[in-house]
Amino acid sequence: MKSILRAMYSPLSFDVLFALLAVICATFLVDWSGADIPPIAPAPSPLAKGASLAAVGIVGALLGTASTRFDQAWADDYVFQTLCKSALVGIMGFVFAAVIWGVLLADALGRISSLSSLALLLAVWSVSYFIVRLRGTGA
Amino acid sequence: VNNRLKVLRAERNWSQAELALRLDVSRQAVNAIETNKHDPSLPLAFRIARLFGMPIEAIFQDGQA
Repeated sequence: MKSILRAMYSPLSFDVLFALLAVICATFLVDWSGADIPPIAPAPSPLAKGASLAAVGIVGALLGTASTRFDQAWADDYVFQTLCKSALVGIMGFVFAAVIWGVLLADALGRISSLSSLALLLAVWSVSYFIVRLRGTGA
Repeated sequence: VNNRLKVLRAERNWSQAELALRLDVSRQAVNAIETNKHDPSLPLAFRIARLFGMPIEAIFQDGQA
């Protein structure tokens, strides 16, 4: 069991995982850009929806904390720091990409859907992972 | 942070894979530390120091100093 988990948490496993994720996200970015996504109707009770979203966000954060503890237990020092740094770079990269899109490209190419935003976030995280792998966790 | 890990490993004729096995980390982790692309956490630095029987500051040097 230990050897299987160690193999799962090896740098090579994550190299393959993020390469696949990048390809899948790139495919969905193209595919979902042509999808006809129906508009979301206004919530009958904005307060209830907003509060529920906040509660789900807190639950998600707690689940993330628990799962990350498991990751930290099995991934070695280098792999865990690589994942942490690439996640941070990925979030910042996504914010920059979203701003660039909104300011420069949205008028010409259209706004992006929440599904495309998710694919973009994961794609940027994948690219960030390989940047951190190449440049190191201290770069 | 600079380190002497590569020199110390070479003195013992260990491969990166062998050192990684002794430290219970991946070979890529050893390579990243040796090429200064990754600063190990304090627990790993202590493990490295124990393995080589040296104080941490004899293996890792602050680049600012």
